[in-house]
Amino acid sequence: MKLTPDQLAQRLAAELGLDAVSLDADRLATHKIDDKQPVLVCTPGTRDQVSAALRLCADAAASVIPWGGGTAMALGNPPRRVDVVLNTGRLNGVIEHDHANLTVTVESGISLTALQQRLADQRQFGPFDPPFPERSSVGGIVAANLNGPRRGCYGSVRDLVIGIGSLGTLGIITELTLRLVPLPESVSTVVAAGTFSQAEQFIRELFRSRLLPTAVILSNERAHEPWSVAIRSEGFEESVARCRRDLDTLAVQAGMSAQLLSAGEHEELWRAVRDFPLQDKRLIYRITLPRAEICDFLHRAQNWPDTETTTDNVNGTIWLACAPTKASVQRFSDLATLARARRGHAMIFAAPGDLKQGFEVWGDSPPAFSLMRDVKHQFDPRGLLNPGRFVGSL
Amino acid sequence: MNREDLIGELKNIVGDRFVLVEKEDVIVYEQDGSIFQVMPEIVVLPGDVEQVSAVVKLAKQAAVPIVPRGSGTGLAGGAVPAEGGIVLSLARLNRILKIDLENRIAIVEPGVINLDVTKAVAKDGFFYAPDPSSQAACSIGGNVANNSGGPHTLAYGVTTNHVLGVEAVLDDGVIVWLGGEVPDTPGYDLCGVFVGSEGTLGVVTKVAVKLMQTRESVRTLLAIFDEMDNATQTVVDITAAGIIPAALEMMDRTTIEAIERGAPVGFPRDAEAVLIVEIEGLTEHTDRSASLARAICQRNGAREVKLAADEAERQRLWKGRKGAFGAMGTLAPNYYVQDGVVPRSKLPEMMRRIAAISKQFNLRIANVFHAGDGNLHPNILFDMRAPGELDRVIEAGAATLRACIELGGSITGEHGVGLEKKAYIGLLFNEADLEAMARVRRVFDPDNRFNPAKLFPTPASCGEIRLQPAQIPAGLWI
Ligand SMILES: Cc1cc2nc3c(=O)[nH]c(=O)nc-3n(C[C@H](O)[C@H](O)[C@H](O)COP(=O)(O)OP(=O)(O)OC[C@H]3O[C@@H](n4cnc5c(N)ncnc54)[C@H](O)[C@@H]3O)c2cc1C
Repeated sequence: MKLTPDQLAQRLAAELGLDAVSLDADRLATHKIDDKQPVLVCTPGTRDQVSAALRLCADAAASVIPWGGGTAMALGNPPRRVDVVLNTGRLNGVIEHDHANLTVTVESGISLTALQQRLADQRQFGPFDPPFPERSSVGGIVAANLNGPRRGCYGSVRDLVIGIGSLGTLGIITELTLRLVPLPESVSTVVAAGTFSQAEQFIRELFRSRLLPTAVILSNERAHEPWSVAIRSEGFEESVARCRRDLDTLAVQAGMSAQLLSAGEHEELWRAVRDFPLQDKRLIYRITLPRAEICDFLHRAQNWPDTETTTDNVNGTIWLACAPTKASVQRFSDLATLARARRGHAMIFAAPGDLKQGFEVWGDSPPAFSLMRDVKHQFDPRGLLNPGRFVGSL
Repeated sequence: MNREDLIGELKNIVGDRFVLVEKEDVIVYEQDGSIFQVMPEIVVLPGDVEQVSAVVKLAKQAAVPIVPRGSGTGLAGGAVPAEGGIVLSLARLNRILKIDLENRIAIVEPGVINLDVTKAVAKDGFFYAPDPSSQAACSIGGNVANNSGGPHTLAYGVTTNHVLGVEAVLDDGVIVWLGGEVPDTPGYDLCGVFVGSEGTLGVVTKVAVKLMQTRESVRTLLAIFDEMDNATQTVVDITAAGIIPAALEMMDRTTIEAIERGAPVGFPRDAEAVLIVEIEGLTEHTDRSASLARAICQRNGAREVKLAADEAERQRLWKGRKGAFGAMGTLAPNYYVQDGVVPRSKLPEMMRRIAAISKQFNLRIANVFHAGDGNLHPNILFDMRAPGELDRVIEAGAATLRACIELGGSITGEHGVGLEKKAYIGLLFNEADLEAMARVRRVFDPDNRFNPAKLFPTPASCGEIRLQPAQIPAGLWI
C-alpha cells in the first residue's frame, strides 16, 4: 500500500461517510481470511460508493477482498495480501421483484434467507441451496458458484443468473437479476437405508426410472454402514405421492428399508446436506465426476477414519469432510489421481488456513490456464482483487 | 504470403479437393439464412482438428481472417465473410464420437446436425434438449456459437445450459478443452464465455453435451382465440400461475393463413391467434398442469381448447407450427424474419406495437414465435422487386427492435448479433459492457482474426456486402 491505513481510511471516509469505514480491532478480527487480518473494513452503501471505494483503493495500491456474508471465505488459496475487506452487507435491497416474469433484481449483499422471505409473499423462491443461507449473500453465492443438491432440477447458479451488474466483469458484483421458480405445492423426502451395494443398485434403478427427483443424496457417517439414500421430490401433491410409491417399490427391490421423513426430519436432513461443504474446523474435499462413476470412486476412496461422506448423485459431486490434519491433506494427490482417471477433478473446497499452505487447493491446473491468466490480467492488471486466492494463485 | 502461395499451402494441409476458390464452387458459401451476401475468396473444408489447427496457424502467418461456418442456417449473417479471408467449413467434422447414457453425455464434432444427436439416442429414451426450429439442418457448432434455443427452451434452457465443455482451436492453432465432461471445472468459466461468442474467439472442434431422458407423459393443447390480446394475456397468466410448459408457441392470423394455404393442418382461418401449450413430465404432473392451462385459456376467452387425443394429432399440430415459416411463400415472394425479446408480461403491449408498425410501414407482418419466452419472430412479408421495399422492411425490423428495448427486452432472443444487429448492440450495452467484452476478445483473438466485423459495433470495411433475401430450403421452420 502506498498509504498508511489511517490515510486510506480518511480518504474513504471523506467520500463514503464515516460509518462506511472501520479500523476497529474487533471488527477487523471478524474479517480475517485464512488468518490474515485486513487493515480496514469498508462497507459501501450504494453502487456508486463501491465504485468510489475501488478507485481509492486502486490509487493506494491496496488489495481488496470482497466479502458478502463471509460464509465462504475458507475457499481458495490463502490470499497473498489482505489490505481492505469490502463488505457488501449494506447493499441488501430488493430492487424489483417481477413476479409475473418470475425474475428478481437485487443488490448483491442481500442474504438468501432475506430474499426468500420477500419472495414467499408471491409463492416464489430462488432455487439456490448454498450453505448457511441466513448469512450467505446472493452475490457471494454467484461469485463462488455455490451449487446445491437441487441443481439438477432447477439449474446451476450460472443457469439461474440472468444478468450481473458488476464493476468490471471480474470485479465486484453489485446487482443481479435472477430467475425464480414457483414454490412447489408439496415437498417430501424418502430415505432408503442399506448396504453400500444395495444403495448403488437402488440409485442405478432410480435413474433408469422416469421419476424426476429434485435431489438424490447418498451419505454415511465415518465410513460405517448403513448407507442411506435421501430422495427429495417436489411438485403437485399427486406427483409427489406417486414418487413416494415408486420409491418404496424400488427400495424393496434393492432390499433396502424405506422411510418417509416427517416435516421436521426433512428440514433437519436438508439443512445438514446444504451446510455440509462449509463446516467449521474440517477439511472438505469436493470431487466432481460423471455421475455413474460415483459409487466406484467411493468404493476405492472409502474406509478413511474420521471422514464423513455426502454425495450428490444427480450432479456427480462427492463431499468428504475430514479431520483438519496434515494426514488429511496428504490424501489430496490420491484423490486427484482417482478423479482424473474418471474424467473428473478434485479440490480442497475449504480448510483452515494453516493447512492450505504450499500447494494449490484447486487441484490440477486447468488446460486453459494461460487464457485465464490473460483474462485476469485484462481485468485486474495490478492483481489487487482477491490476490492469489483463485486458480493458479491468480 | 500471396494468394497463390496461401492456396497452395492450404491444399497441402487439407488436400486439393477441399480448397474451393472458383466462383461456381464458392457461391454456395456467399450467404447464410440472412439477407447478407459476400462472395468468399477461399473456402476450406478440413477433415479433422489437426487440419483445423494447421489452417488457423497458416491464416495467422498470412494475416487473413477466418470465418467459421457450420450449416449456414444462421439468420444474422454470422457465417458471411464480411472482410474476406478464409471461410472455414466444419461440415466434414461430423462424427458423434461418444455416447454415454449412464452419465447422460455425448461428445460430438461441430458439424454434427442437431437433430442427429437426438436421433442417435432416441431409441434408448433420451434426447438433446435445445431444438432450434432449424434442427434438421443446423450444426451443433453453429448452435454453440449462437447459443441457440428452440420451442423447448422454455422448460429446458438454451444451448449454454446443455454444454459441459468444448474443444477449441485458438488463434495460435493451439487445441484446448474449455470445461470438460463434468461441470464446475476450476477456474473462470471459459466454456460459458465461448458459448454464444459467434465464432469470434476461436473454432469449436468438439462439444460435450448433456443428454436428457424423455419424459413419461406429454400433453399438447391447442387454444384458439378471437382476440390477440386474450391470447397474449393467456401466456402471461400461464407462467404467472406457476405452470412451466415445455413449449408455449403462438401463431397469429396471418401465419395461420399461410399454413392453411400451404400444407393445411386445420387451424381455423378466422381465428386471431392460436397457442400450442405442451406439458411434459410424470403423468400426474401433466394431467393437472394441462387442466390448469385449459382453465386459464378459457378464463381468457378462448373460443376452443383442444387436447391432442393421440400422438398423431400432436404431430399434426406441430407440423402446422413447423411448416409456418416455409408457408410464408404462399403470402408474398419474400419475407424477413426478425428476432427480439420482451419480458413475457409485456407481450400484449408488444403485439399491439407490432400491429402499429405493420400499419405505419404498410407491410404485412406474420407472427409465429416462442411466446412463453417472450421471444418474438415477426416475419415481414414483401416483394424484393418493388423498388425501395427492402429498405422499408429493414426500417420496420429496426422499429420492432427499438420497441423491444423500450419494453425492457433485448434485440436478439436466439439468432445472434452477427452482421445484422451489430449496429444495434449499443442500444443494449453501455461502453463499459462493450469494453469488458472487447477485453475478453483481446485475450482470445488479439489480431481480430476470427470472424471480424461481427458482433462488435465496428463498421464493416472492405468487403462488398449485398442484400438479398435468403432461399431457405423446404422443411425448415422457425
Ligand atoms: C428456418 C430457420 C429456423 C431457425 N430457427 C431457429 C430457432 O428456433 N432457434 C434458434 O436459436 N435459431 C434458429 N435459427 C437460426 C440458426 O439455425 C441457428 O443460429 C443455428 O445455430 C446456426 O447453425 P449453423 O450450423 O447453420 O451455423 P452457421 O449459420 O453456419 O454459423 C452461425 C455462426 O456460428 C459460427 N460458427 C459455426 N460453426 C462454428 C464452429 N465450429 N466454431 C466457431 N464458430 C462457429 C459462424 O461463424 C457464425 O457466426 C433458424 C434458422 C432458420 C433458417
